[in-house]
Amino acid sequence: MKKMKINTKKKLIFFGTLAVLLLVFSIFSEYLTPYDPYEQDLSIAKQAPSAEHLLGTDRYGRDMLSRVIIGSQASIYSTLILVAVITIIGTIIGIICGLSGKAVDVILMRISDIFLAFPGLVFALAIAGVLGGGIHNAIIALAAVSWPKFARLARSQTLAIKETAFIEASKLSGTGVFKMVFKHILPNIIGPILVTAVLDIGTMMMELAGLSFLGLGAKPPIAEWGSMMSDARSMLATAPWIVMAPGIAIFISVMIFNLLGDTLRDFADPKGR
Amino acid sequence: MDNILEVKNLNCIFNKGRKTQVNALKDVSFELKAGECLGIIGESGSGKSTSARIITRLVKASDGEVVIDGRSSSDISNKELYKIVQMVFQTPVESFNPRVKLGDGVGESLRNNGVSKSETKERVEKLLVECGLPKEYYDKYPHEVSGGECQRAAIARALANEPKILICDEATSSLDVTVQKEIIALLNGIREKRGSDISIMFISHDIALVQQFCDKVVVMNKGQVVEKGDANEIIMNSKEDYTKKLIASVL
Ligand SMILES: Nc1ncnc2c1ncn2[C@@H]1O[C@H](COP(=O)(O)OP(=O)(O)OP(=O)(O)O)[C@@H](O)[C@H]1O
Ligand SMILES: [Mg+2]
Repeated sequence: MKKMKINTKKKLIFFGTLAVLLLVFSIFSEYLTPYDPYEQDLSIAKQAPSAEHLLGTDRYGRDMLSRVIIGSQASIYSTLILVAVITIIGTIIGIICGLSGKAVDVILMRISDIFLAFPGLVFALAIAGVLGGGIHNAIIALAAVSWPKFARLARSQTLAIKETAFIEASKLSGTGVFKMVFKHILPNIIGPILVTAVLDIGTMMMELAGLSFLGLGAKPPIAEWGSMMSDARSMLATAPWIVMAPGIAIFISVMIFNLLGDTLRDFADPKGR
Repeated sequence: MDNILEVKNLNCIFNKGRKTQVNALKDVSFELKAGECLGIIGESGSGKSTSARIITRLVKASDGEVVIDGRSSSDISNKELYKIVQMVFQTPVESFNPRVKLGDGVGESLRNNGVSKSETKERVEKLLVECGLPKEYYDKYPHEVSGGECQRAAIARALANEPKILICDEATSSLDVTVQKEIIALLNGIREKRGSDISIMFISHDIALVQQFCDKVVVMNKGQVVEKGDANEIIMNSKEDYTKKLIASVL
């Protein structure tokens, strides 16, 4: 039992460090690119990986390694913004439902049921299609369909906690709704919500890349992993590295955040320790 | 002596109109005189807690009236009500937010009423000491102290605004016998010190304790008052069958 706990802690530190490194890497990515990621040189187009261009070049002769490195910015930041938005909006709606009960709760939860009943990506595709492409619209589209999960979670947590004696005691201390939420409810429900948020980073990164891949996310020439893959998909047979490089970058990032989320969940759940 | 609390014809129906409908209270009336201690006894589910929760507005009555200090409770704002009525819960540790220091929990009502941080701290420490805890307990978290100590802190919290009515809903039930005795001694001390300024509504399963601690008693069964009156009188020689059975089952 004890040994398992130490292992979880070690794993948490390990994956936490990896995630932080990835973030730091993307913050400083501009300074880490060996070549200008946007400079075209058709004379070296579609070159296979070599000592000079470790991941090869794309059809405009741009260095793939540099593009994958700079692409981390658009891919990782838009994902984090998306996850932050759905976590915050979902949590606020969930707490409102949990506390208000009755009509407000029923209406908001039925709306969230509608979203939960459809495959999110299909719905997001429709919204992004209506809004038109672009990374901002992709974030809005995915946020619009992804908040219900957090609303459900925050609602059930709020419902469980609002009947506890300390909430009642604090009512008897004359505590108002705002203080009740921020001092007594939120700190006690935020743990599982954050775990879910971290676990969602990987999924959201994939879905954002998916929208970009379908031309509804980041637009070229902006380097973003999903749109880079989309851009190169016709060359999968002739120049596979152009598709593979951003694909592997997505894979590695998603893995890191998923493993971090899993460990965080194990760590937060005493039974799993 | 005047009644500090009068409960008049309270009715309470949960889940009205559904299959799970419960008539938790049926025409419940009783009164608490200033400075007295009123025991409420009755088997599980008889509506004792519901009565307390209606008085403290944690539950709405379907019908009936609560009169506090001569005024209808419906004319009293929450803010004012909670300066007059306070409650100590059955679960001491759970009645404090696990992430908030005991002292901050005890002082929450003071802060809500605009008392400054430093004065709150001073007053909370005094309250803790009055309730038999070292003032260093201000900085402890609920899980760092025992159930009995938590209950002392809960009593300190309830006393922070010098309420006129203190409701103890099975406040000693979850504690072991020696700690129970200490809490009762603490409550006796509080009564001695405040005299007619504090009245206690003491809900308990422990009939011997009620006999020893309370002046009056109300016996409840299935949401109704079976009888009420002098504690000794009722517990020693009741004429009601239900009361006799209840007492026989525990003594
Ligand atoms: N929120 C609620 N919703 C539905 N029914 C309730 C609710 N609260 C209490 N009841 C029901 O009302 C009745 C009275 O409950 P109450 O808690 O007042 O009993 P009690 O006398 O305090 O019992 P105990 O000695 O077990 O604490 C019970 O049948 C209970 O199931
Ligand atoms: Mg009860």
